[in-house]
Amino acid sequence: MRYVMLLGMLATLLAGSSAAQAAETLPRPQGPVLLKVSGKIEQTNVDGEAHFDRQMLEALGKASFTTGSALTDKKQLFEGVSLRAVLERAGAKGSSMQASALNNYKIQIPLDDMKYEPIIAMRVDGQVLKLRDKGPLWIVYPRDAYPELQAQIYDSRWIWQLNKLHVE
Amino acid sequence: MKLNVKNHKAGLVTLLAMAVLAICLSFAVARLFNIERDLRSEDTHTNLWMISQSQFEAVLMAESLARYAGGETGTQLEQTPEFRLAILISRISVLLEGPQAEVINKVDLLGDLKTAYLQLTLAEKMVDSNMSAEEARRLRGQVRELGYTLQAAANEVMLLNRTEASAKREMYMQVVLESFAFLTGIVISAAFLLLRLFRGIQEANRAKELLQQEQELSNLVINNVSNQGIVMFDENQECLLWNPGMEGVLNVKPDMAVGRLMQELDPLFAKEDVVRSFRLAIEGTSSVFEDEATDADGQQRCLEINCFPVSMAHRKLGIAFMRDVTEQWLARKQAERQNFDLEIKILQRTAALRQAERRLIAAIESASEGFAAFDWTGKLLFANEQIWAAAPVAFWCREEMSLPVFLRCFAMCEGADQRLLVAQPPFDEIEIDLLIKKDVWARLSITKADGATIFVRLTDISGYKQVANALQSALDRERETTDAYRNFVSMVSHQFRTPLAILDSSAQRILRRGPNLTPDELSNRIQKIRNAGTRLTRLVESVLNAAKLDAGRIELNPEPCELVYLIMDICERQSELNSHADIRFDVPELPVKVYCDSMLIEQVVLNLLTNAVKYSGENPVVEIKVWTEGARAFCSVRDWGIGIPADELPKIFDRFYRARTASGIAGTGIGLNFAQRIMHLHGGDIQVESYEAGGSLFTFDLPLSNADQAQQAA
Repeated sequence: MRYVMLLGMLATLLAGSSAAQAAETLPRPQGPVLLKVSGKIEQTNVDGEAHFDRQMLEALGKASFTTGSALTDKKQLFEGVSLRAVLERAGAKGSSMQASALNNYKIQIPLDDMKYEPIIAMRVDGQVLKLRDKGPLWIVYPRDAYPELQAQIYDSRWIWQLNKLHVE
Repeated sequence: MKLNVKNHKAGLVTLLAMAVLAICLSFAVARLFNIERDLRSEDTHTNLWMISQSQFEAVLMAESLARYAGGETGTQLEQTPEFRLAILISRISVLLEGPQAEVINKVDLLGDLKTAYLQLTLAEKMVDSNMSAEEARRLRGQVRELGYTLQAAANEVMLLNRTEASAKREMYMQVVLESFAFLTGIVISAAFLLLRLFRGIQEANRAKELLQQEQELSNLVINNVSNQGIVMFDENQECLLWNPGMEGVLNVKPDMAVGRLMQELDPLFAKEDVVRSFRLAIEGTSSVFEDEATDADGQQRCLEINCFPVSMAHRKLGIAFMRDVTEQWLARKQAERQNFDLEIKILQRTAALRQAERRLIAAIESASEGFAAFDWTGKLLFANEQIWAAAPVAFWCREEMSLPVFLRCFAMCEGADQRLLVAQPPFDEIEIDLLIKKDVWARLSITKADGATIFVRLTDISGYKQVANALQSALDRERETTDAYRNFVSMVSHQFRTPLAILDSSAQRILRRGPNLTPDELSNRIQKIRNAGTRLTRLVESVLNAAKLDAGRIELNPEPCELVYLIMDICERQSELNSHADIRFDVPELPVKVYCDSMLIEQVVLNLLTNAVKYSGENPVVEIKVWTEGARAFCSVRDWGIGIPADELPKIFDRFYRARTASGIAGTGIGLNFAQRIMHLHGGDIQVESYEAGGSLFTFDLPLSNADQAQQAA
């Protein structure tokens, strides 16, 4: 029931925002590209893909939470941008996506996971993530807020050194 | 009670089985959860994957460095040593923290990895700032070394995993065994519970069947009780049951009544007290009452309504039983009316009786007679004032008077007898005359009425007694007079005839002899005639004296005189006349002064002295004695003559009475009587003591003339 409702809300949000963003085309990235979104998307700026630099990502608004992770025992403050906002900005129209990392790690993430409001973290405990610190982008789930997220299947979706999203 | 305990036990057993089931189930589930958690945290593959990824990164790094050292340029960003170093560092850093570090530590390679990580970190700056080919080659060597370390780590971790996996398998096996045990427990307790359930269902079915039978029976009873209406209702006063008997009571058919509100069925159910009773029944309080009503035809009707609470299927209902009790009610009313009339009548009668009783009591109270009533046990019921005022009662039994006590009060009165002392229930009827105080005579009569109440009457009969006494004394006097005359006649016939005969015979002799009579003889005869005359004179005198005394013509003129002198004088004179008599004296030397009429006392002494001489034969001896005792003087005259027979002693002082020993001796029978009467006049007495042929002793007493004398004498 709750999921249905959330899905409904998500659908309306997606529809509404896509309609709002449709007019504004995605500008070309000015700085180094951090994230490339491809596949079933409506907004593109480079070669049929949506490319985002740091500035563009930060422009999509800030999202943050504190949570523990499977890698460390201590809790950390993750700050960045909402994954949902990024997908909306790109006008993603799919049910899942394949996320790829600079270290060639790949994982399939269903768009349904947006109900947990995962973020693309760019700072951890106030420190900007660099390549050697699992940066520059890291998909993080609010693991402490939802007990069902404390499972290996979700832990494996915590993809770091993210650089590509392919919406299917 | 026994059943209850059994139920209790069965319940406990069921609870125990359920508890066992729950415990086994929870233990088994807990075990399984443990396994689940263990499995979830099982990340041996992750560790190996991470090590292999790191190793691969190390290889890529080494290759990149080799290219760099070989002077290869213009490659992609991903091929540059900086990029690869960053990736490698990020990989190694993952191995150095969190759960991965623990695993590495277990295989004793944490130190090596940390050293390698430090070297890589140090190499970062060098890589960023155009390192030389030599430096690149040296770094490559280090990275290759790292690659070997990671390979060793992978080997070690794999071996560790195997060891841990076998331990885990053992643990899982144990868990499986435990779970099996718990499952057995679950199965057993579940089977037990199922058995119970089955039996419970069976019992429930049986109970249901029984209930149904009971229901059928009660329906049968309810529907066939025709003389009593039964109605059931709920808290909304809706009719749930209406038996055919109700049709007889209220003339409403069951199918028309059930399901409707009670108030609509009959105005009876709209009455305030009926509604209240029904509500009380619903709330759990029974009540019984009667409803009286007059129907359209003016017929009076009375219904007895019993309301009881009923609990059915957890609903609180009420049941009411209605019975037409008009007949009984009417009968009761009639009886009440009659009772009331009867009570009024009783009250009237009681009032009349009270009045009569008051009148009677007033009459009894005002009566001059004493009146008391006792019940058959002798308990006092009533006594009027005259009873209480009666002298013995007033003295002796003012408190707690019962009939025996009352009668004993009178037992010391003159005229009482034994009956008064021994009176006990049942009392006898008694009639007795009593002198209850001086000069007051009363007649006490006890009568019984109906054998229950005992009435006592105390009548003053003093007047009657006085008259009777007067009559008695008159009669006595009359009898005395008659006796006196008879004695007188007999005395005269004896005493007068003898001198008269002497006179006659002397006169005849003188007449017959005439001139032949010698002077001596004549004088002898004349002397005889004179003697007879003297004797007759004396006789006449004494008779006259007696008559005088009878007529009260002798007056007493008392004066002090000396008794001894008086007696001596008399005796002197007497001895002149009777010279042959021997008179002896025994008198005190002191004078004895008495208070008396000396003329009369002289008559007494003379009479006693002459009697003593007369009845003592040829040689009379007389002893006269005078003495004093207390305030009185005594004088006795004794002879040793013929005496008086004992049986005649009481009569010796009667007038004209003469003892038989005195026959042949002249006497009138007046002397002693005369003497006694004189002594009585003096307030003294005369007494006699005598034995036939033994002599007599006469003693009289007189009061001393003064107290001095009396003291002296004493």
